[in-house]
Amino acid sequence: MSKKIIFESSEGESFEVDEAVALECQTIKNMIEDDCTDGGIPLANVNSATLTKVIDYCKKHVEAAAAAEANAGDKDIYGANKDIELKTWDEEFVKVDQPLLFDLMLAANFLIIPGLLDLTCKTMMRGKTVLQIREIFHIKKDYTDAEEAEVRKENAWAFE
Amino acid sequence: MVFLPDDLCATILSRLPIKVFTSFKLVCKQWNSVVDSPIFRELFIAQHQNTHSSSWSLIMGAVDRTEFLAHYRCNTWGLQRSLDSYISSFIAYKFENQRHNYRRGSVVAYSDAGFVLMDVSSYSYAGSTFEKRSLCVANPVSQECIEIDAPKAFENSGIFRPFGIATRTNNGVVTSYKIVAFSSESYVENLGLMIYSSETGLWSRKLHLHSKSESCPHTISLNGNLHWLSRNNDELVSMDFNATNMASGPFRYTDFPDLEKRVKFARACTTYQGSLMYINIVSQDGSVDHKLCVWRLKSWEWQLISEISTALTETKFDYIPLRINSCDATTAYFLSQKHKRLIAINLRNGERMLHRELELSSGGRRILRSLRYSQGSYFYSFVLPQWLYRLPRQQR
Repeated sequence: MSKKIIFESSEGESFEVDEAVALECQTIKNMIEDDCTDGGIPLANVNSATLTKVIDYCKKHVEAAAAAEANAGDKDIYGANKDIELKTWDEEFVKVDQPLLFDLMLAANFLIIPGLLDLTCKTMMRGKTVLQIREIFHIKKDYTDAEEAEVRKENAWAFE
Repeated sequence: MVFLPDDLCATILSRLPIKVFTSFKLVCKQWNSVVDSPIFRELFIAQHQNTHSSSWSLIMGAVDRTEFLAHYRCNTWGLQRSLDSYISSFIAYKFENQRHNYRRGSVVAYSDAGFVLMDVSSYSYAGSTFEKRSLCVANPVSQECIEIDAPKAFENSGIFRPFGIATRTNNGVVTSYKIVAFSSESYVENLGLMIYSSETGLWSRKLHLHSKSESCPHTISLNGNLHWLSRNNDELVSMDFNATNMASGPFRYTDFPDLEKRVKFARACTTYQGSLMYINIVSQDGSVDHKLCVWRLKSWEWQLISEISTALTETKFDYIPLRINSCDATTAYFLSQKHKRLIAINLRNGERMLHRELELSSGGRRILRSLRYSQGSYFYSFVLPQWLYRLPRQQR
């Protein structure tokens, strides 16, 4: 039986996962290597809803990696299909509301899950206008109109 | 209020295409300064270290450019149009749409930092009388440019033909560049080169251009050096601006590796992932075994990196090798005028793919013009680097 790791969410809820799944997080991997995971890992800045999703993601990617390994040397269309399948899964996975997406991104950044960080960042920003970005991140425009015109002029090529 | 510290902001933005994060400089002052910071630049470059997909175009000729093939929808840049259209827009903005400004600019060389070198002629009022020559180094995507005066002696007389720009970069910054021009005060005497250095802001003169070299070669600019082919097509002529020992001048001459064999194509080089590549089909005298070979120039020697038997020789030959696909090392493009098509050859198994269908394919690649070219046409591949390079400030 594989070793289990216990995560504790900010609400104090416990989540038991296989070590292989926890190893997807670079931060946890370091902790496991340093042997300081006994008694569970408290994640004070990751809530239960987010943690559930993060674990889903890690599980899926561990499974996909194992499947890819099993099919190694078998580099045919089948292998390519697997990739597409995982991509499709990822796309479905991030079809969540902005606050959860943002929390997922923060968790991926904190736990160091490069694939999830990449996925959440890109999804969060894709196709957004400057105004939408300000709205999502609750950013107040701090440019004067003149300054804004200047930035726009200096980087005109990016606004076409 | 969501508070995004600078490092998290950089983490998010560095995952976006260059065009997208550049537009997000408009979000607020913090985002603007994050994007401009060296830390962000380093983060972006580190993340794209192993990405070789970029926007590139295959352009025939320089002054009268014809874009043959354009790949522009890469994730690094996020561009919506081809590189040649950026060049055209730049020329229109800089020279053609300026009132009371009678100037003409044409591209003479491309650099691997994503710059173009332009030869600029100014005319006096009404555009009738030639006034003076100058040069323009530009990043056609961002439209940033620097103008450089031609050497005094050649401002309005003599032969002066700029033909190359070598850019040296370090950590996402262009530290310096050199411009090379063929020059002569009269048609017979004092043949030589003029070299401009961005570090000094001055032109210097180098006489005795190697007799085997063309007087105005088509250059490939790579890692701060310039390369071109000798007149009789058997040697690579390079200007090694990185050389510490300049006793032999910046020139280097490298024999091609197949001089004792038969080659199918007039030799031509291309670049791939920061290396100079040479592709040809070679056979021993009298042998029917034809091999498609790919070499890479490393430490000024040719390394054979791939060799496959090919049946490409069966067809009537007018294919010319163009370049290796930047996105995928295994595909080399060849062009056939007779068959009016581009073919892609898999360098691993020799399989061929006709690329007429590229005209219709999506994903940002297409043949823009009919595949008509005259014998001896030169194809430049203009490839964008994995970063938007700014022009270094000019020294005065």
